[in-house]
Amino acid sequence: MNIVGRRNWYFLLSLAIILPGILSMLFFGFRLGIDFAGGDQFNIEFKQPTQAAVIQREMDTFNVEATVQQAGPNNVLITTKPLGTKEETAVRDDLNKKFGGTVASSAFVGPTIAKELVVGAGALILIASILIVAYLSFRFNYKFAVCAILALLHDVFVLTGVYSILGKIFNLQLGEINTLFVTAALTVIGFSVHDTIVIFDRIRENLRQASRLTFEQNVNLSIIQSLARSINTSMTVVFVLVALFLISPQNIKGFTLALLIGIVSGTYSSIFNASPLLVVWRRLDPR
Amino acid sequence: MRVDRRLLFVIGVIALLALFIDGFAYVYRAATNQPLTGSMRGVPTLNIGFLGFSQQIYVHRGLDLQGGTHLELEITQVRSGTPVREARDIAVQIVERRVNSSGYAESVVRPEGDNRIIVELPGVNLEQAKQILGKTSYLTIWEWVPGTADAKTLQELNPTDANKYQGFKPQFTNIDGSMVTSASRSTDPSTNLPDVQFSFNSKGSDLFCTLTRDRVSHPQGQPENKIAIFIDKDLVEDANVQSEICGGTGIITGGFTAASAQALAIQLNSGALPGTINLVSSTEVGATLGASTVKLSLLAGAFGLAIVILFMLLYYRLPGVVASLALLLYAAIALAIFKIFGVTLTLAGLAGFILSVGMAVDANVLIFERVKEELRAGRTLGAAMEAGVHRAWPAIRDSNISTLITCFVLYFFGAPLIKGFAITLAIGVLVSMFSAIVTTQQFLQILAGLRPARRLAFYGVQAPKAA
Repeated sequence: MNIVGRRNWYFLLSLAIILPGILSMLFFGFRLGIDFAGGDQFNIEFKQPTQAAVIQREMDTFNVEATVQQAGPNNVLITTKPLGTKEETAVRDDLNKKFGGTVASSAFVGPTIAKELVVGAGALILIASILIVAYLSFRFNYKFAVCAILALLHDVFVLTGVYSILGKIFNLQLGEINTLFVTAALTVIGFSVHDTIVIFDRIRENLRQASRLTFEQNVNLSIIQSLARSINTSMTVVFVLVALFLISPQNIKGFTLALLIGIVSGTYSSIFNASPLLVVWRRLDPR
Repeated sequence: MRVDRRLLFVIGVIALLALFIDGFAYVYRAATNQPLTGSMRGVPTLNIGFLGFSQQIYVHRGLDLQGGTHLELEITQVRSGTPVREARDIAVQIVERRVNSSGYAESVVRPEGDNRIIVELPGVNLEQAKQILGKTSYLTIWEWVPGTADAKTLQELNPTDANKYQGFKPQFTNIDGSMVTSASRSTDPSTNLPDVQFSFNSKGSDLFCTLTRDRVSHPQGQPENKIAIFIDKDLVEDANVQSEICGGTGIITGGFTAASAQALAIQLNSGALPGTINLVSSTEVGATLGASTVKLSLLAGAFGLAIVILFMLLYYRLPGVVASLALLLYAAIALAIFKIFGVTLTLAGLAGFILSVGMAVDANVLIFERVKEELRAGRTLGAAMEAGVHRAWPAIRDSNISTLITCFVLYFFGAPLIKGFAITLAIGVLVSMFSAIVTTQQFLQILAGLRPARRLAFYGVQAPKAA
């Protein structure tokens, strides 16, 4: 198997997935959850099956920019602009009186908090990346570190791009960007680097042993030697996540889906992007 | 490397300790003569008298798993002269008093940042929470003077109340709730109607004395004869002053029921808030939703663990058995750590834990792949196992340290939800490193020493030809 030799095809595949995502991010942006946009959200539970459309019509009378989504046969999820205490009580009382709905959960995020969270999430990813580069430069060298971070950025772009498309073009609530999504993105970063390091470790080890292999052959060998491990580990995590995704309630489905996409992308990028990039760099700068 | 008996002993002790802590609820039930099923009285507490050790041992569930309300409050419009942090601390005390006097156990009130307060109320819904906190108000006393209210006043006070009298505007007397030392409901001896008695500190007493002396000089019933008491933005009392009040105590009368007098007394007591409290975010989870989330996560965890164990057994055979044992021990140790250190488990925290299971498996996979390679290269079982662990170590170390770096960043800079995720993931990663390097390795060494376990087919490897 010659993975490094076909690297341009693999880079192309990555681009084919990332480019639409980047375009979608540029032109449409993200579907922001209330923790970033600010607002009120209620998960209302009814005693009998209730259609979201019915509740939407009722909520429209309040004029609070409400969107209502089905969250289960007896459940709807209502999202509104930030409400005052009086408005909020009015909505709750109305839904309770007319439809017998009770609040299973609710969240309110004021506009000031929302802004802080956006800044915070970006900063977290940046700080974590910088520290990881520092550690990898110490353990390997800066070329390895930069390639690991490029693979990491690949995963972040795949993830955010897919979510931009899901949330904005397909208009799915699944594609919402919220605090849980940020948690998922950070997990993916951890996992992606984890995966890349395992292969890099193999390259480091093979390079130390005197052999007649060229750098390129060496990298290819290391990838293939690590392949069973990469796929086995990812498969077990993917199994667990698919199980989680299928049984998780609506409000954390987006979270598990993000983890799933990120883990698959992370496995791909460490095999097909990170190590071949080392080879590209070596060719451009053979020192 | 041989089987290290001391290390095995340590593993055994840790395993027993973990199982004891995990099953502590049953020990506690037995010790307090309670049935082993059904709801439990009290909190399981471990007391070791001669060590002076006492620790509650149970899983601390976050609000999203047990139901409750989380609120974040912000103090704005802090009165000039009060540093923001001081205002925040005063507010924390007041909120605490309110919450405690409402009798909610296990509630948390703590400062956050310069001007925020976090309030966590288990088992309380948002409306109850707002009722508890809504009364923590700022009391101010105003006088009516000729003129019309300016924009600043209208921002501080409810416009309807501020424009109550045509041609008069409220003017702040510099007396606020911070000067009230105590207030209580009492009964007017002449009319037998409820009223509210309060006392000032010396500064408040002087100001109030001057104020009432001035007010009394105006004709009865005129706005200029009245003092206006505002709680936050609302006028709660607009009383005629019949005589100057200089003893440091005063009485508010008029139109009270026993309950409303009691309410005002409480408000006066907690009215020392040096600013306005606003709700900036809240999260509310009903108890049923929390319980069903717990069930779901346990199901997902058990299911995930089952898949992983099945996979390891099928793919790695005998080492798979070792990995499964190590994994179960890992889960038991992690749970014990959560219990004994009181780590609060939230949904995100559970996600972090489940992810760390994946990483624990990875460490085992890394070792076994290396062991297979060494066996294929013709090494003996014991040597292959030792080399496998040895050569897998740098990858396990570096990958886990980079995950720990991420956890570290998340824990110190992240929002509370992200913190919960970071802490369980970090604990999981640390325990998984112990599990892979110590437990798995020792178990493998035991295997290598057993004659029946020496067939290479048990390891998914064909014997090298003509070795």
